[in-house]
Amino acid sequence: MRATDRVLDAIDVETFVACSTEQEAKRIVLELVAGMGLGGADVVFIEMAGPGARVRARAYVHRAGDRYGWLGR
Amino acid sequence: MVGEVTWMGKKILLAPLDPVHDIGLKMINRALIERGHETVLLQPDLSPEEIVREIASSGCEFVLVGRTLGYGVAEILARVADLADAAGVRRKVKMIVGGMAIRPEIAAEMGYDAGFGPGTPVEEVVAYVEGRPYSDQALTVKRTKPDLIGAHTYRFENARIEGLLGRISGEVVSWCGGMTSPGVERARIRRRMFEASRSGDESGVAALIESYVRLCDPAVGASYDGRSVAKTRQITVAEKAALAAHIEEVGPRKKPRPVRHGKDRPVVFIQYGTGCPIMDVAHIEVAESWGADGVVHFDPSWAARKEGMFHGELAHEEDGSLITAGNLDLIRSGVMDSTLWQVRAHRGLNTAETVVLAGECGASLTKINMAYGSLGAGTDPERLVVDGVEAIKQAVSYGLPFDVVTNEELCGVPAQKAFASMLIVASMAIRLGGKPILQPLFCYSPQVMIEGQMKDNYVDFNAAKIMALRSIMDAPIWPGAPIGFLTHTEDRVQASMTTALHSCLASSLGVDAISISSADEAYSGGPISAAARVDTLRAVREGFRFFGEASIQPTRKAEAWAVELAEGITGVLEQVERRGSFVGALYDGILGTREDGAYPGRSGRGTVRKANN
Amino acid sequence: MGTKRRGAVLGVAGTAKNTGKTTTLNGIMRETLARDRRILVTSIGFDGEDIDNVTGLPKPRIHCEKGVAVATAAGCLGAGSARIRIEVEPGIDTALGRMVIGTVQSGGLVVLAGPNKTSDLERLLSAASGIRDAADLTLVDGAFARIAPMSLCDALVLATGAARNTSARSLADETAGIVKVFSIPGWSGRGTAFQRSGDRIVAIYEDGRAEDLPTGSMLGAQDIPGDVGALTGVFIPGAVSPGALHLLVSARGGDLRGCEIIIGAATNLLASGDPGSAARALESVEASGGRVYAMREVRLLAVTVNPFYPERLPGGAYEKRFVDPRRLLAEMRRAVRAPVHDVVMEGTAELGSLVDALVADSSI
Repeated sequence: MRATDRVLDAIDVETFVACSTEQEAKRIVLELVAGMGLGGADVVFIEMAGPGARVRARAYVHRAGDRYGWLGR
Repeated sequence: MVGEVTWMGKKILLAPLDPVHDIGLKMINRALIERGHETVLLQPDLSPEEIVREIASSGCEFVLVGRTLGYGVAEILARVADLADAAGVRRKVKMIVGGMAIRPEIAAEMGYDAGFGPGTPVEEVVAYVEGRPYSDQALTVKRTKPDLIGAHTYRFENARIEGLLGRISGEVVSWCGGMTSPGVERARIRRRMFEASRSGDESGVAALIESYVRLCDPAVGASYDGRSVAKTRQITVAEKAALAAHIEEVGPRKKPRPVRHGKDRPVVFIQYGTGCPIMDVAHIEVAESWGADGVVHFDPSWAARKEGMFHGELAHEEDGSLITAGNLDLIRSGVMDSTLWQVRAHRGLNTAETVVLAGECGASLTKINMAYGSLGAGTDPERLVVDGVEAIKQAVSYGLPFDVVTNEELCGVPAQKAFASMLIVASMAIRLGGKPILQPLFCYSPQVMIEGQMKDNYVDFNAAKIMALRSIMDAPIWPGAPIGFLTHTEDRVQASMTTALHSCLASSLGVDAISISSADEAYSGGPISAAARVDTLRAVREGFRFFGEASIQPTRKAEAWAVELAEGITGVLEQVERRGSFVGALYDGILGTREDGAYPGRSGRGTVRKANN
Repeated sequence: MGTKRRGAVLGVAGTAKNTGKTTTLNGIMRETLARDRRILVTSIGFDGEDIDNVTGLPKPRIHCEKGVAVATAAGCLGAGSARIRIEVEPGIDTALGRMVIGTVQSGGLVVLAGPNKTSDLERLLSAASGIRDAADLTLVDGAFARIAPMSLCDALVLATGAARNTSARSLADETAGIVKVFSIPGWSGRGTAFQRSGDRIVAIYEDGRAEDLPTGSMLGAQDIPGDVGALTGVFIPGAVSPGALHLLVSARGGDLRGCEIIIGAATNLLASGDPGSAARALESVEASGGRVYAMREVRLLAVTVNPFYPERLPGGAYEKRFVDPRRLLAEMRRAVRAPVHDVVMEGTAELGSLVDALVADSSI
């Protein structure tokens, strides 16, 4: 059983990215999350100022209606 | 708009797509009407065909379509634009889309002339319709360096305490006048080093360094020979150049907005000290960009226990950035001119010299006290008091205001004793021409844990502290350090909330400044992260927005405790006066006993001697 | 439209995201350049994201060789890897800034943000034709859910595929419908009534009377001419919805014999709704005896089909999936009366020839 199976629904990545535009930050964080093996990520929050952007990206492991990895076999 | 130019009002159609009314469009509609334009606000939930028919028949010049989140909304938006285009309407009508997740690229893709994202000011949309450029300069208030002293007079409201303080501070200042220490001497040599360096006297500088090193710890002296310092590494020339380029590039992007909402107080400070001055600069940039007015330098405590200050631009591998002239210069290069920068000199064997460095390197304030450093941070009381008086004199000479902090409360010393010490030092400062700022702690201190003042709420006892101080004298007050200390947990949301609530309490009490932590305050596994800094600044901003000019009401307990505290302070000061010596009072436990958790320090013991000159 | 234009204008439209529109566009460019033709490429939307925001899968971007001309927003010039020299500013504003026409100095990826409405595309084509060494072929990349500006194209290549519908049969049926819409014959033009018309619907009656309606588009019941029974012709310059056509049929009791409906272009019928309903409306008009013509003919040159589709896994990630490419191609060729190609499986040569024939025809 993979660790992601036990995630109830979603994984958030909270970070601060050094960059010069919001576009760049979005691209970087989506790439970051994809690199973690988490597909279908969405940028929930992004605020760009000064040296970079405060970002929260989210990837859903289990959406409502999916077969839940954490629910018995 | 009255004048030679005839006002050409535009006709604008506003089309909300969502069944729930689009607030953004309504606000823009109102603004356009106020500017004298003619608007038609369509009902929501019309089909693309109905919207296009309205556009064609209305004779409008602009169409504003509001986008809210939802499934299939993008397709509807594109359809509306496409249908309008096929209908021949797009020749004369400009179509604008605004709202959630809109950026110019999306507007282009969906067939619109312009796109405005969420949070676009209404004024920007109006400017577009009116065909004039929009500048957000009006929104960014010109940022000036705040003056914490302001209109405070240092006048005493409590004559009894005034008298006591006058006599106590008079005694200690005159006693210190006849004493010196290696710390005092090094501070003066350091000052002469800067003067010689400025006048290009290289041999003079070299000679001064020699006499300086003789007064230093061997490890410190070695750094002046270019030898490496344990637990640190030199910042390279390449890194310095990269930092300079980075600062250039980021500077124009900072555009800070104050965290405050409608009030000009409190000034908000954050604390930095990752260990590396380069990372510190990045953190300072983040803090400034998110609205911090000031930044406080945290240095490692082990360096304060050494005689002498290290040389070089040094990155430290643990918490706290070393205070060296080189490091301060690096950090200063990343601090905006309008940001308050504090370099602290409140404990250890280098307090006077730290003030000299602070002054020379362009700091805005410093921090001086003698009680915490000697009762809670291991410095010998006699040494710290002698150095502290020198520090005050240097601060006055450089025009640096300084706060007097009561960190010994964190050891367990009750507030009335800590405040007594603080007021003694403040009184000494005033006597010497300085501008002290009182720094009571807003914290969950050992005293409070044992005596239970915060069982019900965190409001009353903190309010009592402010009320007590105000009943004694009119001085600037800057709660720290940081506020809410020991109420934070590792949870980001809880840490941000407690910071915000304490900040709002401070604001409600009308204090002059506050020091806030990051959301990482309780985490000890690594340095504070930039993301955690943003979190608390945003939380504080939200808290200030929530309260505005409204206030937090303490219970009657606050008043009672304030009176008790003032009486307690008086009692302690009477004991200090009877003892006849501030230094003696520190050693004897009048300002904090062993039971309280206060232990007179040993670092620097026996290094004070009578001055020759 | 009155503008002198040397060279052909070819649109590339996708029925959905991930149908291979960009692959088709890149393929057409390669083939055309190999035949030594000059190309200008632009977009009626925005093409430049290199990661699909929704699926996280990489999307190809448009690659331009040295010598290719591009029309894009000035702000997008530095966004790709190609180096572009500005030649002309046609005076068109976009959501991303002023448009420029430039030539690629060193080949690479380009970000296209072009004229996103018909009037702006018209101005661009006019400005472009005035340049020395004007393009033999202007490629107009499409945009999400929009088709209207493509009315200015001589022809269209439609990119579709499993991303639109994973059922080969359903996809083939829909595509056949789209082809049918683009098969609307051109109006050869006659009668003084239509020469008067501009941007309003003109209704022609049995007695020769011509009536201007207050609107230019037929989108609902209020746009149907009053005396429907006596209608012999109706000219609709603006948009026309499938629903309005159905209303016309039923207003005439299901009998539209003797009635000619002239629309601006096939794209005007597609702009308002899904292609299936456009095709069905057309069938309904024809079945009732009516005839539909287009003032401007836009040929459907070819259809490209892409078996790829992104599938959302239970875990949340998207993965690349493919339907059976041969079966898909076979099904499409069976149902669709237009050349159908899978450019990845079969190569771009045939499509290249079709495009080149278009270019050759237009140079006369």
